[in-house]
Amino acid sequence: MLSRAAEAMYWMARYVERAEQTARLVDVALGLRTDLSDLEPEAAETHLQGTFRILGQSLIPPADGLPAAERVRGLICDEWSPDSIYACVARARENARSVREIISSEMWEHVNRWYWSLREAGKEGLREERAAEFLASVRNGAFLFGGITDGTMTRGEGWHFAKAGQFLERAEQACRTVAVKIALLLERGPRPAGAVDTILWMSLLRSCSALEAYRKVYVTRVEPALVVDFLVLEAEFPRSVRHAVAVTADAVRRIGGEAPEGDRALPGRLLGRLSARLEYAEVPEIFHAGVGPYLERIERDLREASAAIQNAYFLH
Amino acid sequence: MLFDGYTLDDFFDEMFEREGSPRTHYAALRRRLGAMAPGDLQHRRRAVDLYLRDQGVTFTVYADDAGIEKIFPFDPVPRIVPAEEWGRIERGLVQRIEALNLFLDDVYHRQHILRDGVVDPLLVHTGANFRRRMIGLDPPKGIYIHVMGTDLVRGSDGVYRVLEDNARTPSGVSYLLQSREVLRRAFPDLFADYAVRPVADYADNLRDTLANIAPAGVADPTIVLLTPGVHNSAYFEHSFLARQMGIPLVEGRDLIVRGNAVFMRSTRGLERVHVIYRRIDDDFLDPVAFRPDSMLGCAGVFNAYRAGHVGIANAIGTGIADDKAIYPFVPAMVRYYLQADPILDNVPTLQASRPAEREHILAHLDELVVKETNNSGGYGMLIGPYATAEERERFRARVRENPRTYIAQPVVALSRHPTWVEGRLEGRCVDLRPYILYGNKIRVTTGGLTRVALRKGSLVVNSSQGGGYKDTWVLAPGAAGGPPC
Repeated sequence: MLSRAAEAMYWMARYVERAEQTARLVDVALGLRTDLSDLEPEAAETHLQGTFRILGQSLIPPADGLPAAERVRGLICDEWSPDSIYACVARARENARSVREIISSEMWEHVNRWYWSLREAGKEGLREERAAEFLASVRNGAFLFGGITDGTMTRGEGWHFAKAGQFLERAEQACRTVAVKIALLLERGPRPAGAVDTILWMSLLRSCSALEAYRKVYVTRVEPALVVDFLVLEAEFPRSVRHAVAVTADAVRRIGGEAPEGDRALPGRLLGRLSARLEYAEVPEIFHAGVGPYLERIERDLREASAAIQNAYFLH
Repeated sequence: MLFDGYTLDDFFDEMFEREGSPRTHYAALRRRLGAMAPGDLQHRRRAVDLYLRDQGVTFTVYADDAGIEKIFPFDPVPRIVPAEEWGRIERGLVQRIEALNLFLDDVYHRQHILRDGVVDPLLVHTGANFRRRMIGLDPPKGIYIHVMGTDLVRGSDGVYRVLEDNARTPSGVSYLLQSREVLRRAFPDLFADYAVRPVADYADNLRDTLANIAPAGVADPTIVLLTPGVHNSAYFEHSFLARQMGIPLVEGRDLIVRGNAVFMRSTRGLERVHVIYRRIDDDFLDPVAFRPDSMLGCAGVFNAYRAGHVGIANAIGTGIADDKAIYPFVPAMVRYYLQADPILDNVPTLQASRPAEREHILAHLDELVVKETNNSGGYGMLIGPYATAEERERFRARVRENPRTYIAQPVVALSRHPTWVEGRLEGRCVDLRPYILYGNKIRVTTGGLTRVALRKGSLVVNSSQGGGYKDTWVLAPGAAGGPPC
């Protein structure tokens, strides 16, 4: 397929995933503020700053820079900020528009409607009370997009590029989210001790949409080793780093074919190696390296893979 | 109810013969609309707008503040053309595209029509779109204009005349194809009384027309649609047609010329391209052959074309055929090349390049429509009766300074059609743009884009200046109102 079209599929899917991720993290951060408002509001504040770091907004002490409320607003509806939900959806739509002849009309109509509904919601001004509702609608829009894509698109090259984009984004985000939040949690102590700690560890799981899934396996035991195991290494949980990398590797393998040559061989090799590492990793070695450094290394490998995909298929 | 207060005001009305008296082929429609409650029509119209927005059937307006994308306004009252009326239009259009193709072939080779004094050579040689690089070049199958959109209007006498031909990159066919679908969804009951000829085969016909000019010996040619990109005003149509035909939509940067052949950058490396349906002006097509500052084209594509390694539709240099200064000569071309009387006439036209006619134009600026010959989209135009004295003076100076650049026509009181305006139906001016394809045979779309001037009293129907569109129904022979053919 046309290189530019492949690139558009890849980025369209990445931006949709990014929009969902941003909405989820902001939602969790706002929820944390409510939950901890009586107990320990500073902890909620710390985690809000952490959220800004995860999403790529540079760290500015609230005293010197914008108030947190403003930054949250910026993350949601700032038209000109590359990190905002609005920008992500607008970009997803732009990319979709440029490949209308490749995606299904159901996909296009959905992205288009999603974009317009967010624009209209943004015009009315976003009030704090409506934030949760708004963020939920963003997430639903992203889930619907995935479902419609899977339900209406032939598993051709275009579809595989979209999957590669979506899961690469997911893997990167998962690494960042866990790395940043685990660091904040472990600062407080080696394991949760008390109501606030429990709430904070649960919010980490929520940040990865993993709370209920985790509980089905481990019930009420919230222990750092188990949480890290689940969020990083759990093969069957769709948002774990391992799972996301495996899906990405598979998509890239299908794009490259049996025996890709030259530049086209590199993405598959990098992701294959990474996938194998995660398949055989164990939690003690993650803690031994330090959760942060371990995940940062994976993130670097993912960025390298992303550049390799770019080189192999999009640039000529 | 909807027709309360509907007046003809001395215009030829498409639906009504006289006030209150619908033409035979409109009788059934009149009855159905008459029985509709205004609220019902309003409700369905809103559904139409929402559907168009969801589909992204937009048109980019450059001069407008309200954002880049606008929905091209769709009016739900269809325009109906009976079979025998359409038959005449069709035959006239076939003549015209044949004659224009022969003209281009002539003017880029032996120029007999100029030597024989039928067309003023100066007009051709000073034409901004006469491409010297095309002299002596033989395009595939000898066809220059593969897709043409011709604008037809009728005045108070009810006769269809050609207002202009569009032989370069005519647009609008996607709205034509969409409008049938839109109307069917929102107003399925309107179709009940009529046998309307389908338009859905356009994409297949277009594909065949393009495949027809592939380099010889290629069994399954790769055809692409070349677009300037998402920011182009007609991007929706480019994407739509590419989708309908199942061909890749490419931009200039996706193409590369190697060894005088054209390739596109694909994920598997370079893939050969055999035919380009380009929706980019000649000027921007190739920075080596034409404007060097163009970022929209592909360097070397003209050389590949000259070498016969790629087909391009429409051919380069067709602009001289739809040049407004050449337009007055088209009926003469039909006589000259086809030895036949033209079935469709032009709107009477004066040429400023002719001294006697120029004086007449200057003496009657307040009665005429003066047009620049190298402009389109309704810009660069003076509508005498509605212009200020100052505007007329400005045009007077321009016509004197550069007579070759201007033609003038009497104000045609365009025919009107009932159109939904704020809760009821009012007469608004319409035109008709059918599309003609020149492949292994000449095919005229069984339907056309009916554009409607939405502003009261306006004669300008172009979308870029606030026009809208309607579905156009060409009736099958023997259908309501038409005698069997």
